[in-house]
Amino acid sequence: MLDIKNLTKTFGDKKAVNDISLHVSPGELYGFIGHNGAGKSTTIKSVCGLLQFDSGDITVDGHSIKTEPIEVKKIISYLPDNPDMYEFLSGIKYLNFVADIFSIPVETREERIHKYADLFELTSDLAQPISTYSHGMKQKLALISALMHDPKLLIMDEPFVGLDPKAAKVMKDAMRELTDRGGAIFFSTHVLEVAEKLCDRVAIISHGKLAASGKMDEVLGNESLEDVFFELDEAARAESDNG
Amino acid sequence: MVKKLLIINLKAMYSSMFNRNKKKNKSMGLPVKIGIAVLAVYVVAAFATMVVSFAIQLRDPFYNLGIGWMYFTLNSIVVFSICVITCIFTAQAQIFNAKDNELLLSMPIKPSSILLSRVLTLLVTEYIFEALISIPMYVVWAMGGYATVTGTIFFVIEFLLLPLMALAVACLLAWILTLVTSRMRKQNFVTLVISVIFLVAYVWLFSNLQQYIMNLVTNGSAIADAFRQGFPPLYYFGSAISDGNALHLLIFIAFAIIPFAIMIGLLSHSFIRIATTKRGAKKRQYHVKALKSSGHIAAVNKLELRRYWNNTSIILNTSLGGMFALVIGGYLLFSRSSALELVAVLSALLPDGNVIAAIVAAAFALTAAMNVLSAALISLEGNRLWILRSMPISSRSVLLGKLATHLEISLIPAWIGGILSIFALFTKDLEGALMVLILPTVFIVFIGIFGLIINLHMPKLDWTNELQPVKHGMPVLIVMFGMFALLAGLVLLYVFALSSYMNISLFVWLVVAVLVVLDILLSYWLVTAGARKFEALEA
Repeated sequence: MLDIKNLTKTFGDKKAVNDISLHVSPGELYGFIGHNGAGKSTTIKSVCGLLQFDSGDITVDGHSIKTEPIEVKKIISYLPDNPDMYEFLSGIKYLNFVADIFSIPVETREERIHKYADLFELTSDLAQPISTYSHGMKQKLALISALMHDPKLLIMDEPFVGLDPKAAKVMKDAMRELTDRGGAIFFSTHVLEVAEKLCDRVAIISHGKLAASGKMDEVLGNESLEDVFFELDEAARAESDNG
Repeated sequence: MVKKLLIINLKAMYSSMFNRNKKKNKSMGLPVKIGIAVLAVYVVAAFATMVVSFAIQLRDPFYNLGIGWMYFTLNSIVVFSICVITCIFTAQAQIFNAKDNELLLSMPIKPSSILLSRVLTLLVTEYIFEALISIPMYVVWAMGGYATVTGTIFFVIEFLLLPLMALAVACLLAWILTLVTSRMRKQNFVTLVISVIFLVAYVWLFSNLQQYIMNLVTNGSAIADAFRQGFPPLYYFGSAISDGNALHLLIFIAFAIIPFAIMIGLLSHSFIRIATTKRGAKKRQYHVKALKSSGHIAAVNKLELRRYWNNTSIILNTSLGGMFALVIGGYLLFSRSSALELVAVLSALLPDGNVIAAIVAAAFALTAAMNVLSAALISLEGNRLWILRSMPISSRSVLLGKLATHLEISLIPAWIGGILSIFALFTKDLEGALMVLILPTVFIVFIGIFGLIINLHMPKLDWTNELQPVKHGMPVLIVMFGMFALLAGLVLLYVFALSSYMNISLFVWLVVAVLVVLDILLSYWLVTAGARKFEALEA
């Protein structure tokens, strides 16, 4: 579903992402873990076509983000870490705008908006301007907009930040439902317990380089994700300091 | 602490005006710095010239009538009015609705220090406005040989104190405005109405300024008496400077300082409550309604229209020309007789070709030059750029949707104004009617595309307030002054170089033809290279 091959992205003199390769298969929930500034958001933004990268390639379902960006964007959804949205729109108008861009038929969009808004308990607030929403409500709205067109690949940057326990549970269920239908999810998180419980595969990035990746049980061995993460991060930090 | 906060506020103000891209750590290049300096010199020179011409007409008559104080009273009225009007909305944003109030209050900083730093920031901007008016006026007074040492000292003291009085009134009005509008759903509408009232009053005052000056000169003594009794603080202001009257200076100081101190006291006392009160209109209940679908360009267009109508600052800063186009059309239609008199005079002056139609068409083109919405539409995406960039919509459709918004906002009032002017002047003149519709149309298309192109080259996406790209954005300034310069250049080109070779009608149609060609070429660039430029913007 998602293939990242030798991705490199620099900002000025700094290599934010250095020769990263990974693969996400259909039906997989793929966790992406790293410290602040490790290169998670840069990788995610490159996948979604928000950043142009220096070298390598990214393909989604066989379409390259470099040469066929629109084809890629038709089958993915992106949820940023801080969902800044058009605050002058009401929730429902924002969702209708997103549905227009994804060319979702009117009946389908109405059905899906109401399904997800009910699930996330946002229905009664849909007429309110987004400017009046709390962070959690914005996060829920962004999630609804991301799920609305039934994406093949859902890409999320810190999706659990700001969600209340019930919304987090609904979200986890929705994620599992999507992967059960053959979709794939690639998401970054700092909540290692969630990643350990949810993900089929995991990649750990440190200082722009991939420190480990693979099936969750292969990466963990007999250790917890927290222990593995700190060991790999320390090693990568030492390597980065030496070279 | 007040000093530190003041410096932060001033730096934020500077940054909002001049810093282009913090992420890329780009500072302004030399050409941009030179451009800004030239623009600043031009604005100051134009303003000073206007003030000086106004001052020269009043100085000697007032002095000779023995009411020299009236000269400075008028100075204080103009400064006071401008400071109050320009400060009300800024005070509302910086004191009552500032986003960082809660953050600062959570730190070990006295609320009074936060408040004082904000008030001093406002004061700095007021001193700039005051300097643009009062200094040229005092120089004119001194050049007449009327200045004294005492008067000059008193002028300096009063110069420093006059904005305090204006600030006290502006803060009071901003407070009332915040209380009145805080629970209203249509806050923007209220702000828009108030702003338009100020604007209409300003235009009306300015268009009749010469008549008022004549009235002042001929009826100076009677008007002076009315001012002395009706506006004592401003009378004392003038009298202290012109007559060197120390008692009047002390009375003025009291008038300036006491209201300011009361206002600061009241605001300090209530600042925590003001800053932390959650305001908001009654919740709108969602009722299920059938949704309507739109194509990509139409969806972006609807989005942009909602953004536009939702923000008074965007309306007032990017499309005043539309209001002026309606005013011109209405004036021509409803003051048809005086318009026809004007026509007769102008026809006699420039009898070659369809002069009147050319002048009316140029007037509508001039109003169109004040509509610079497209020059801000890329920057206005700000940190929401990820939405459009992560969805399956081509950059071409995004740019065309934005262009459509600019065209709707500019063309509709231009066409309404044009049609009104046709009913007033060109019912039997087909060429004239076509001219007043076609020239503004092709010019508006040109401005719309040019604005987007400039904004694609100079996007400012890291703003913290939507006002920044709209009010202080370099693309907006470049397009507005660029279009004014283009129109002025065309007029000069015809008057001084081409008028002996062709009549004005032919010249206007040639300009239309050139603009049509430019519109086609720039449209092509916009949907090809411009679209690539949009794709290269990093969200």
